[in-house]
This record gives sequence, structure tokens and C-alpha cells, in this order.
Amino acid sequence: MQFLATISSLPFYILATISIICALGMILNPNLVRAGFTLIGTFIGIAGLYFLLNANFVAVSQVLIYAVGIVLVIVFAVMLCSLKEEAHNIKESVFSSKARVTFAVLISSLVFAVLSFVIRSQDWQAIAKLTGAERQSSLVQLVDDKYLSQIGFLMLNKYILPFELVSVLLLIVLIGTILLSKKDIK
Amino acid sequence: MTVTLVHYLTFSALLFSIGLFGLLISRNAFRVLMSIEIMLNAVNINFVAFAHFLDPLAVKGQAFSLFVMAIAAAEVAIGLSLLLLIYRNRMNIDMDSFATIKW
Repeated sequence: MQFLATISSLPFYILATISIICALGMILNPNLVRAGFTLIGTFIGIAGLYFLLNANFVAVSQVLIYAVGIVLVIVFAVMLCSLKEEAHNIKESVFSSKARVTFAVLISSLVFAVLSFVIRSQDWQAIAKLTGAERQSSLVQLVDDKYLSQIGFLMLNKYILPFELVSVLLLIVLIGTILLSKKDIK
Repeated sequence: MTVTLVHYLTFSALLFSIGLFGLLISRNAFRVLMSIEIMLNAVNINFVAFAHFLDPLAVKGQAFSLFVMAIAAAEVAIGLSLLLLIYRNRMNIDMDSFATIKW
């Protein structure tokens, strides 16, 4: 039984390790284009975690939007700026300024300590009981393939206002990006 | 030991801290954008994990994570076009050189 539980938790640990290693690689890789491609590993690992969490549609959106769309756009922008000679300076500057590294390590480890303390101090079993998740999780198997229709239902009923606002935001971004990247900007 | 909500939340906190570390350490504006993407992803994991463990019937967290993705895409598009504009005018994108508006 113990062995079975360990085996079933293995995918989580593998995917989490891949994501974290790739995220660290993105930060520490001196070559910007390679750093952009390393980001794909992080996003794919997170998409795998979404599959483990029964969020198939979110996982596929993650792969389509992040791992393909956003990474591709960032890498193209990096190539447009052609920072080949600057890439060597960055490696130097990242590791030379000791004060900056110390500050960053201090702040981020402090944030992690506070977050993990808060997570550990909550009684998640009680909260799950409060929201009725215990009772519902027996029904989950029945509605396992209904997640997508549930998301669509939510977006067109309860969250109709944010849904429309996102479409307005995307239109504004489209116009704004075209305006910004025009050559003769006034 | 099975994987519980605490595991996912701790992993997300770790990823968020790594993104924050990258945000603080990097001088290149592109790397700052990538770090912000990692932080947004860490938050998204929280949403989906909460939806799975606490709200398995009405999966509101998954809808929220889709909104976050749309806004992240918008942020990247605007951020990259601003960076290209800055690069065209000043020929570098070092974060330390963006101090013109500093008082």
C-alpha cells in the first residue's frame, strides 16, 4: 500500500523537479535565446501538473498559449534585438554584483519562508469539509468529462463581465501593439 | 504519502520565489519579463489546485486560470513592443539604464 502510494505520487515529483530546474536554468543561463527555450520546459512541466489535477482544458491552453505562443514571441523579440555581445556582459554582471545577488536571495527566501509557513499553518482538511469538497469528491468521477462544459457555463453566466472585459482588453492590446511598433510614432 | 493540496501549494510558492529571484537578479529586461511569466504560472497552479481539491464540482479556479492566461498574453505583447521601442531608441535594454524618469 505504501509502495503504491509512493508510485502514484511519483509523476508529481518528476514534473515539479523538471519545472523548477528549467526555471532556475532560465534565470542562470547567460544566453538569452537558450533561456527562452528553457522556459518551455517549465511550462510543459506545469501543463503536466494540470493534467494530474484533472484540468485537461487548462493544460492544453497552457501548452498552446505559454509553451508555444508566449515563448515564441519572446524568443523572436530577443532575436530582433540581437543581443549577442550583450549576452556576455550579462553573465558577468549577474555574478559580479554580490550585493545584488545577496539581496535577491534574501528577499526570495524570505517570501518562500512566509508563504510555506502560511500554507503549513492552515487546516486544509477543515476547509475542505467547510466547502463540501469531501462530499463532492465522490461525485467527481461521474462528471470527470464535464469540466469543459462547466468552464463554458461559468464564463457565460457568472463571469460574463470579466469575460467581456478580457475581450475588450485584447482589442486594446492589439491596437496598442500596432501603434507602439509603428516606425513614425508621434 | 499521497500528493495533497499542501504539496501543490508549496511547489507553487517555491516557483513563485524562483520567479521573484529572477526578477530581482536580472538586469536584462527580457529576463525580467520571463520571470514575471513564471510568477504568473505559479499563481495559476494555486488556482487549479484549489479547484481540484476544494471545489471539484463547480471548477471556478480553472475559469480564473484561463483569465490569468489571457491577461499574461496581453502583458507580454505590450511589454515586448515597449522593449522593442526602447531598444530602437536607445540601443540597449539594461534595466539599470531605465532611470531617466527617476527623481
